[in-house]
Amino acid sequence: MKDVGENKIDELLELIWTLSETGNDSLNSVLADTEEEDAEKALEEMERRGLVEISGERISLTEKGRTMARGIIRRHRLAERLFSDVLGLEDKFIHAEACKFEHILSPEVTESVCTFLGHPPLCPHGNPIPKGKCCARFTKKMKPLVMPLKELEPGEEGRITFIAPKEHARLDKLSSLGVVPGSTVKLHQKQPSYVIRVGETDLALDEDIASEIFVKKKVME
Amino acid sequence: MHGHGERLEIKEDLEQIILVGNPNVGKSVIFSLLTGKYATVSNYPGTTVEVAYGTTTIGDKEFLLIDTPGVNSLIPLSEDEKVTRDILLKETPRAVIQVADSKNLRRALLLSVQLAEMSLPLVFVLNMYDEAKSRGITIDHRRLEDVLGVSVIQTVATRKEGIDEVKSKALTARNSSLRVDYGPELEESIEKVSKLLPESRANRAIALMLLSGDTTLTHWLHSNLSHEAIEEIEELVRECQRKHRGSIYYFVNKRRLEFIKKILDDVFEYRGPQESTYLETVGKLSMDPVWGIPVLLVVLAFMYAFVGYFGAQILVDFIEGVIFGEYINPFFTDAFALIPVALIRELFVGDYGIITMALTYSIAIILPIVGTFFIAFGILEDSGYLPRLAIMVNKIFNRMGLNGRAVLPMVLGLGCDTMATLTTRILESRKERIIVTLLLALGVPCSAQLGVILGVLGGLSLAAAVLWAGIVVSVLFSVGYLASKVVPGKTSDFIFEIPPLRVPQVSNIAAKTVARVEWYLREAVPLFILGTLLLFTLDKLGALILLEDLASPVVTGLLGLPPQATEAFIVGFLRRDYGAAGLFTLAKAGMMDPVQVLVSLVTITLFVPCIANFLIIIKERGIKTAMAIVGFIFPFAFLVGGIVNFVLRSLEVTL
Amino acid sequence: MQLSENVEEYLEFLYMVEEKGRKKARINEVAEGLGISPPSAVQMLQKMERDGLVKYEVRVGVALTSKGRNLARNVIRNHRLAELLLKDILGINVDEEAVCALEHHISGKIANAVCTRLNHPRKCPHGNDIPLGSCCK
Repeated sequence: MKDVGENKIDELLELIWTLSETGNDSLNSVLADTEEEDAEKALEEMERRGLVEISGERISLTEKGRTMARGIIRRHRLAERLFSDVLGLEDKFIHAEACKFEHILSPEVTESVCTFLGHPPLCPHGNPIPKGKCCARFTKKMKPLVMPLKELEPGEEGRITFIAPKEHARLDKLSSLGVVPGSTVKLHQKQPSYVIRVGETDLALDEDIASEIFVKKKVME
Repeated sequence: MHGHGERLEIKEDLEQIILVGNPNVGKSVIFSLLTGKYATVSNYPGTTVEVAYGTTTIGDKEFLLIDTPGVNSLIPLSEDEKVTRDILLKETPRAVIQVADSKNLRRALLLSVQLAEMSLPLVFVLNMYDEAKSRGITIDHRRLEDVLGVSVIQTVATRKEGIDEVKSKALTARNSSLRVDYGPELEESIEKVSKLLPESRANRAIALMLLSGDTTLTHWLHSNLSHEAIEEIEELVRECQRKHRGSIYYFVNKRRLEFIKKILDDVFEYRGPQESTYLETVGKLSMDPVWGIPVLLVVLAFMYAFVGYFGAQILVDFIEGVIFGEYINPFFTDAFALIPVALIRELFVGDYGIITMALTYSIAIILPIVGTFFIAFGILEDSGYLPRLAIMVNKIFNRMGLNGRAVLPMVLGLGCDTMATLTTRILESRKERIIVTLLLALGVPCSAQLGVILGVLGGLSLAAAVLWAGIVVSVLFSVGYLASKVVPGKTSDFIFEIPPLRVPQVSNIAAKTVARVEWYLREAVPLFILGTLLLFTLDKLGALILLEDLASPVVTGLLGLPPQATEAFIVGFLRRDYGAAGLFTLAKAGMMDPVQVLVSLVTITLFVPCIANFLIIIKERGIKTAMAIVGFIFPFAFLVGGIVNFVLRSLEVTL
Repeated sequence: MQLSENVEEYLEFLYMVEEKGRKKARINEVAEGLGISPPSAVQMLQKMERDGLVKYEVRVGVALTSKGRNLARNVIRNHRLAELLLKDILGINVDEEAVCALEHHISGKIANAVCTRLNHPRKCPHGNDIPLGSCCK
């Protein structure tokens, strides 16, 4: 079946899903929006495999197709969140990079990413991320495991995983005050400035510095 | 802050003992105790911006004691860190006393490691032992002694505990056995660079500084090494940085902290948070977004009650009315009446007399206000409230291209702008230093002026007072905002250490107040006398009338003031509070209506504070910046005065 | 230049041999390291030689050309940064399979983003050096 690439099928499943989110089930829309060549051939192949049903102008996913598409969409949107929230990738690259990632994330890694990000409900563009098995275990949205210090609540503690400053001088200065990966920080307050305690030192920080320090939240007993 | 900046008495032949430590750990307290000399002590990081020198006797030998600005790292990130680092590189002290805040042992050891790398003879002082204890911290100091390989002494310097031991053990100072292994690659680079350096005890430290990309050593390199050696070193540094990429400084610090962690596991025990004391609770409230405001209001009310009411009213009335009014001035007037020459008589006790005007004003009015302000400021400073205020105002200050750290000079400016201009050194970027200098010079009234102005406004109405304050604050804010756009450079990061709230020591506040008042009077009184002489001379020559005529387009035209106000503005060039006092007299004599009073006060408030301040601006910022600041301020002050006059008149406001 | 995953595996292997301080690798070594038969290894290496990626001499062994080395460095960099992404950022125990799936698809942009986030780390979780990238200046 080499003539119809698996990636092509993935892309089309993704497109049909996305269109159906807006209530659009027109075959023409699919053909108009796709960037894949020979899309019609691919759609025929998909119909043969029992992934889509085409009746006249309408196209819809079968149960099997839905499950596959769901997985792809989930990986794509989780990847987008990962790139934008954690890696700080520029917005314009996020979608394209996620397109590559959606094909390669293994189920285990996908679950880890999802848990890491705190089972986010939406992608950076505001579209819903389909739930996975890991999300079922949590009834409500959970905070991600590693997050910017600025997202801790006052009174919470975390261990610094990494610091991603815009300038090196900032890193140097923080490190000379004992703020380095591995240190435990406690957030005292967020307003009017961030105040943290590292060891026995109380430090006040600007918000943008607090958003550059990533911590793993200490789970309170 | 500067009170001990004089270096006249450095005795070259004496052996030296150097005090070093992180910021705000009590070096200056120990310095004062050892030398019997007052060094500015406060509860605000970075108070010692200049090096202090004194002598101390140990056994029967005299030593030169040097107090250095607090440092977190000997690879300088700021001006004061560089000062300290340079002293440690240059001098060959008999002993280096490292003062540590016991609760912050981790950061202290980060410094010890670097002192050890400089092979300096060390004694380690665990200060603020009481605070550590109340926070549930115990330090096995015998163990620490073994690890460091030097004497460790526990002290509570503010209660003089352990100071004798510091003295008796200072001379046991020896090189510490601390040594961090930076991994084979960096060690190899250190080794190679060290070999190229001139023979010195600190080679390992210098090599590390160079490899970390320390550019402050360039000058030192050029005066100590051949051109070839420098090139070779630069190549080694580049190679090392290529291999390591990212920040070597950061890598080095990380290695050090990992190393220190092992020591701490061994000697440092933390038994969890104890119950929080009421001071900690107040400390928290004072920087709370909601509670911080009532706390600030309480602080302001206290300041007003103490300075504005007790100082500016009760004390001034007593000294001016009773002491000068009933005793001193009549006495001198009578005494000078015996002198037959009218000119001399008037010089001392006339309308512009040195005694009846200059001294009465400076001693009777200024001294009580300035004195009470410095007491109140000292309490604020030592309590540790100011850093919390810095947190409260950080965001507002951001708009003016500053951060919360600038609160210290700005509040101190309410005491004396000249002194405050000196403390702008604690600010990290040139841009911030320029903006604060400008704002201080432009519109932060010093306590003397504030006292006089409040006196005048008190006779008017609350609306006038609020209007005056509103105009001055919005001018300050707008100029700050514009300056932040115009002055090149960037605002430094707000990464600011907050010391614990403490109960101030009465003795420290007394000593500090005396030092500041003394300094203030030395700066101010000669200027009052000079100003008085100037007015006296101009008056006698008939030039005063001439000047009044010359200035009339501005003074009477633009500002709509009586021609006599020119006098006030003339002395206002020397000291703006003196100018304000002149306006006070005019207002009291009923020569100005309320709007005129307000216009003239706004104008004089925006003058450069005094000649001394101007000289300090030149010294600190350079002649070009100083001229630019002054060249902006005077026309601007008249312009704002003119606008206020125009607006109030057009709206037919009555006050 | 778009490389097949296969080619990337070869480049990666040869780069790691160089890291151990040897210029050349023997065919058997390569075949064993990648889990394929020596004849197919020879076939592949010959193709790579035509592309100017390696220099292959019968009985002496195979070495990277400078072009091959540059490409290999990128592959290695992406691989090790992928490991770091999984381990240091996501906190997943590094599972070679997951990494291998990622490394060939991780783009320069993602690699640089990971690299920057972690302050341009020098070592992967296994302690191997991470080659410099364009973001590390």
